Amino acid sequence: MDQLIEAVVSGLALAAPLFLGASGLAMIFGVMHTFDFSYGALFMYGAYLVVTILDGEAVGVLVFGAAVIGAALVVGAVAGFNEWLVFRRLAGREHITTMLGSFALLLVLTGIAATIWGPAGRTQAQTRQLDGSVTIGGAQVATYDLALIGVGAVVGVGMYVLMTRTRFGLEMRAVAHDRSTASALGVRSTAVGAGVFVVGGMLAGLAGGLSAPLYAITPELAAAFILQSFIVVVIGGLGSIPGAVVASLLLGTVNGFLVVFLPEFSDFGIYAVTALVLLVRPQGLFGLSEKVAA
Amino acid sequence: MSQRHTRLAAALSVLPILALAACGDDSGGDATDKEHTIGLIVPTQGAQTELGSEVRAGFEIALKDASTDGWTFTPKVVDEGTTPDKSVEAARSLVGSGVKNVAGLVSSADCAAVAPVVEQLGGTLVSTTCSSDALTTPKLVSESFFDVAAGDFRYNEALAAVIAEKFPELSKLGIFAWDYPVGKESPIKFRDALGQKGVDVDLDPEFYVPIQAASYRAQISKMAGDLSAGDPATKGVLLIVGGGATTSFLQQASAFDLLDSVSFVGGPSEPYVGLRTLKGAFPNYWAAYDYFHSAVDTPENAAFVKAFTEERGVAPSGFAWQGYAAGSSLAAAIKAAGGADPDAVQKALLEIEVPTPTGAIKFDAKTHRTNSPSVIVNVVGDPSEADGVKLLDAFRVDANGNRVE
Amino acid sequence: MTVTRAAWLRQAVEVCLVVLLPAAIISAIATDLGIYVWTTVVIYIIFAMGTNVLVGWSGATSFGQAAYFGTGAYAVALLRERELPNEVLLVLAVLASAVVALTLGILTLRAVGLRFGIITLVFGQLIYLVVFRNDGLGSETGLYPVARSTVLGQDVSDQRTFFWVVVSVLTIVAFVLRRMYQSSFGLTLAAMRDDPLRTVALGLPIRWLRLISFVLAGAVAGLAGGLFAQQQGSASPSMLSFALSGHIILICLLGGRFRFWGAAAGAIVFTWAEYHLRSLTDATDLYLGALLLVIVIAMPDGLAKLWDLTTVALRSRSRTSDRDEVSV
Repeated sequence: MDQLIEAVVSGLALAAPLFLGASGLAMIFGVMHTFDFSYGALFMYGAYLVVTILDGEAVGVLVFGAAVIGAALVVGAVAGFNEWLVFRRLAGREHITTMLGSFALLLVLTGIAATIWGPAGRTQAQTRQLDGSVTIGGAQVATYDLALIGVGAVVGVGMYVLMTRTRFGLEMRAVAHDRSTASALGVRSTAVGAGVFVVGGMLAGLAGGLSAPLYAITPELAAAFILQSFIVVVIGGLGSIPGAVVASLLLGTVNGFLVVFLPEFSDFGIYAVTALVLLVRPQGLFGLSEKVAA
Repeated sequence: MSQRHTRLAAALSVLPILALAACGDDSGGDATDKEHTIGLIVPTQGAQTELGSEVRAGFEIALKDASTDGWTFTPKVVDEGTTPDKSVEAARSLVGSGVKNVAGLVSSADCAAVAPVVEQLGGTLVSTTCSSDALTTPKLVSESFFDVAAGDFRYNEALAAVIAEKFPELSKLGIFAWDYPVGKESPIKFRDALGQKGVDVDLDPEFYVPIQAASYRAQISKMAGDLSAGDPATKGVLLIVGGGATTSFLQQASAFDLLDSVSFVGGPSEPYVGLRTLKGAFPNYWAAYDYFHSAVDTPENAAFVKAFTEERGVAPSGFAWQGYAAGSSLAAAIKAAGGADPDAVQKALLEIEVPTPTGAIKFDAKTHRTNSPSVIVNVVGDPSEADGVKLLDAFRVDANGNRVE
Repeated sequence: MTVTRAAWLRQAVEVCLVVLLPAAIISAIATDLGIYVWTTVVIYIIFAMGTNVLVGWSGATSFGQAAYFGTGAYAVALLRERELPNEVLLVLAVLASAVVALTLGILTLRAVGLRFGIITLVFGQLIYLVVFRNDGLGSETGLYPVARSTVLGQDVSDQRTFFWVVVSVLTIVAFVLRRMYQSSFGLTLAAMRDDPLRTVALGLPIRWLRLISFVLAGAVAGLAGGLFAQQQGSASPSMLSFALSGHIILICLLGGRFRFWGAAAGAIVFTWAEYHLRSLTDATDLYLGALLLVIVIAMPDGLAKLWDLTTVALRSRSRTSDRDEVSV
């Protein structure tokens, strides 16, 4: 029983960063029906910006929070610029073309990061009040991970409110459902598209900034992170935010269980689960059944 | 009719692109008897750029040091690329254009592909960082292949030799390793080596993580729980990961009391590049590799560290030493052979003593690896140090597992 | 002459002109290093043309094609001590990758569009991991050395000879694919790509078609992989990586996936651009990405647009029918 709780608690702690990272991507996909590879680069920029602002030093919660939010805002602006530069011009083209464009953008952004910050890795020291751990149900959980669960919940609720209670959210859902009809009804699709990228970018920057104290920060962070986020979004059902939540929880918990009960299989765990879900339900957990059309 | 024109146009319009193919290589090769170019193939872009620049800086210092008595050695650096076929291209561009003596390569897959090509084209390859034992045991990948790096399992055994001495009460060893054959075999060899020195440990718990993964919280949390009970002197954690993974592990482990409840944390991989990024925020740590800059107190090393620090702004890592050793080997062999002829150079490599910042090294006739003793260090993070790394103790262990002074 | 025989001859001439003529020129003027890189390019052309059966002909983007390329490479590498001639070796490589493609093809049959892309990516990664963790398959270092096997009893280790071996394989593959492209098979795949509902409504066996095209793409990829192991001299895990899978999709899209020779153009331009950028700068990915961005934004159908501009300029008079447009 102890071990069971350990696995579950571990899993929850793993799910939060997964969700934070994937939420923006899910949103972008939901509205633009396109995978944005450059999202990984935005995540990396969030981490780099935080480490640059704080110079890697340990600070208090408030300062750290401010740095993360600052980073998120800058990254949001970068994402907005990307939308104007690249995605707007590719609107209306085939989805694969937009994916190709976003991949090219990923290369460019990663190259710029390597030029600005150099190839040597950086680290961000952990925030002072959050650098310990607590014991829950027999499992040791890092205090920082609990904070991330909190942030994840806030982001999740915030996105729900945004999508269902604001005009922007309404327009987003309209464009997601049927862009041309939405346009015909007076929704400014271009502005909505730009807004989606900006908000998505901010989420990426936020996730990246929050991850800064956990990993060695190098230009390779982008590529490593994007694959993981892809999987969450696809399992959850492309475009579904609740799907991303459930997928994160599923993957986090499976990982937690594997670590506790079957550590030899952690490698295959995430891929095996993904393959299984997609074989059984190709549209993901919450995705709508797709027509035969590709 | 117009269709045939179309097809002809198709073939002809490819010509501009073919023109690119005519872009020849620089003809390298040596101007006079005592002027030689030595090639270096290392990553100059991508994930391992940092490693590559360390090797390169060490290599260039070696060539400068060897350019005495009328000899001039010029480095020529080519990008290793991210896949073996790109490394083969790099090797061909060097050896094919007359630069017969080549050092470098950090990835073992690249060494495996490049070594036979270098031999076939009539050159000599001294690898700096290829640590896969399969390249030289049981049989050499190529007669013209030499390797300055000691090899994955040698560092492992050297570390075990020292740990057995310093922590004789160890009985439980947690394993955190990458999920691949070296990661799975090293802990077993480590345990056996400890056992031979009279220290019997259980490998428990064992975690093998995917190489691409970066989040280790779940494993660390479980490990912290499993290793919390008992006298710290009886427990340790062995890391068989490299590069950024060690850094990420130490960062993520700092939240738990894991590192306080064990007496030994360490692993057989280059420590300095990763640890110096932590700005002094890491606990007592043990590592084994070819070199550590403050572990040796000789005038040669002092000069090396000084020259390197002036060039790169930071002290040299084990990779820098490897770059130096490889460059120094080829330069010394060319001098001894009186020229760059590959057979003569290869014969010389097996005979000469090669100068390095830590003393002279020799290549073994059978394995073509060096007899340079592994360096085991005990370090701790100290923000008051310039690079955040404070050396507590250093040891040297030879290829037979015995301590040397 | 019947219509079909004339078509056969015309396609044979086209393939020979497009492949053999430039190959002869290249062989004559390229340096030793240039020939090595061109050999790699031609192998990528084979790989890309096979992949384009999925990406361009069927509109099904698989992000795991490297799995078949790598299977072909490892098959050849595993047999390296048997001293089999290339005729046998390459057939075995093709068989091995076809079997893997058949297995995964059956499993992924239900997925379409992006889901198909993701599930092929995941299976590709699983295969990569299985090989990477396996000591018997060389783990991270790979299997080596892989010597170039004989062709028609002749030793082909010389790079220039091997170049011609690879070009010959391309000629055969290109001819076979060219025939298929304009056959009812190719046209049906195009129908399936452009309007799946109508295709199903017409009673065409859409699942069979998808499976066959998947196995075909995998088999050609395996052939390219078998040649690549001999080119590189080893089989390494990077031949199974997601990076390679993405790379080959990029090449297909770049060149123009709706044109028969688009994949070839993409392979040539992309490989050489990357080669030259790598020797000129340490920020290769940055410039490559910028180049790609420009191409993607300015040329919606890939490099094929440049092709159009060239032929329009060369053609003197009235336009030929649409069918001829499509054929290139």
